[in-house]
Amino acid sequence: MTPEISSLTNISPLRRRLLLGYLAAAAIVAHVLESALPGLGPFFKVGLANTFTLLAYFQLSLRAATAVSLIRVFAGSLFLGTFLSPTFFLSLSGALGAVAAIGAFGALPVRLGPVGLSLLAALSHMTAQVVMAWLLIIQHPGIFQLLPWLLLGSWAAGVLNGLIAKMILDHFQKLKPILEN
Amino acid sequence: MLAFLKSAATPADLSAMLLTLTGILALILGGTYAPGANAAIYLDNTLQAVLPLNQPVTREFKGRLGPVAIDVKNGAARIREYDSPRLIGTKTGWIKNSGQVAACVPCGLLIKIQGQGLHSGKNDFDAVAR
Repeated sequence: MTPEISSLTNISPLRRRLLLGYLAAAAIVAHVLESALPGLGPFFKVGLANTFTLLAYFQLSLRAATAVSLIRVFAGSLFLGTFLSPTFFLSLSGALGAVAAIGAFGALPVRLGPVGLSLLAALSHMTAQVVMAWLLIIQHPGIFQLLPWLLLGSWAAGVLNGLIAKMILDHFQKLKPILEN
Repeated sequence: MLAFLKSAATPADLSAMLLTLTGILALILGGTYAPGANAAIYLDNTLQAVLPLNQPVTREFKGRLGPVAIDVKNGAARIREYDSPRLIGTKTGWIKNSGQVAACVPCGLLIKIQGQGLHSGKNDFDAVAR
């Protein structure tokens, strides 16, 4: 399946690395800033940092998206002082779950755009986090009864992030001739 | 907003949105809503206490991040975290139906409503006479 928005195929390796760096930096900033904001509800977190993972996937590659995601988790945890804490492992599992979903569903022979992929990545992200919480922290199967409510919040966040990614990707399309020059 | 969503999403995106939302709502609405009898408190998967929901009480437990209070009142229970990143347990609010769960994941604490309560509220039957 080809991404709905054409990726940057003729970009030089240097510009590719620079773009990856910018996206990773933006993801870190979004991750750190969002942690400082009050939550909108018990089961809802926007997860704006995941938008940049999506941008990396659509503009560069799955490998670039994985790199942005992992850099965000590691650097974000260092900034927030949660490195190697349970929170770090929850964040890492979520990021890996999201990237796995992007890779798996992105390879399907259906035309999923940023909104669909973001949604599926968000659901996978939350599921992976709950599984990790069950394995590491609360080893009681009762925690899975929170999953439907958490998935509902993730559903809304996934759609929102997908729409934001789509808007940014539309702007990227205008920059494509410059970036590929 | 809907028009923007329609233009931004592919047909596969819209299908994915609908299917996943239906699945999630089915999971939520398919749950049991019978009033519970007790609140079982687990810390790191070890049962700490079973609090009857018909006896108002506040108990404090030592979680991984510090003390966590459990309130029981009016046939319901809730978590009151003092120090947790997102306060998900506290924001879950009062839970009273059998099977309902509230958890503070960083604290390592989970409460689960168990059993079938006879008293669920002013509109329910107290008992059945035979």
